[in-house]
Amino acid sequence: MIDPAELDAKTEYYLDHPDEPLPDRTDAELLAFVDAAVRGGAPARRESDEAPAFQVGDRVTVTLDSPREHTRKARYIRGKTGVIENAHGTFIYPDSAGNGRGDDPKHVYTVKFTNAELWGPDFAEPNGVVYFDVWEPYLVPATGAAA
Amino acid sequence: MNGVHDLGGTDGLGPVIVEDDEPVWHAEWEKAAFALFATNFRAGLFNVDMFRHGIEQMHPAHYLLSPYYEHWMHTAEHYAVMAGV
Repeated sequence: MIDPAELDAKTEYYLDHPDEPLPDRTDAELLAFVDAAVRGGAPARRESDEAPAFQVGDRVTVTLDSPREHTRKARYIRGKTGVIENAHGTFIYPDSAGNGRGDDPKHVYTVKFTNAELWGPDFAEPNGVVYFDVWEPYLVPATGAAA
Repeated sequence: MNGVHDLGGTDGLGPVIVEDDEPVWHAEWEKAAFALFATNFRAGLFNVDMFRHGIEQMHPAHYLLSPYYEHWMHTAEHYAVMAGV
């Protein structure tokens, strides 16, 4: 067991003694797990019976709100409109899992935004696009026209 | 969470520095920091999304000025202390 005060004390100790060897531990099973995880990664795809709400070609708008907890909905795409370029199936939903509430798999789509839509026609590099992967709850059907 | 980690579209940070023949490790301690993710994931302290969220809760000034693996150390410590490891 370690509490924050002990952690601070140990940090100070290693700052004062930078050449002190780190604690050593041998655990063959743990090492095998780390080897496999580092080489193979940990896939985030999860099965779900939920039907997709959108399909390739749909025009969608990213909801314009500010979740207080973990989200992958970057600020620069909020409120922006784009077109679904690819539908990937269902994956762990970071807005659930990242906040300790389980995988709650959701559909993931690649949305294509024009630079003009993201940064405004006066400031965007012309003719460019940005592809951004989003989870379905971030999206609503588009109503207005995108830039 | 609207934090400084959400850097997309931020101006004024200067160029992205690309090192020639970039080494895997820039310091010995980075190896230990790297090992904290998979080992503590297996111990059930966090999943990958929680790991990211722990980094987001660093002090914003420190987040911007610290090297990559220090972010890893911060989030591992955050969840280890929370779990009373």
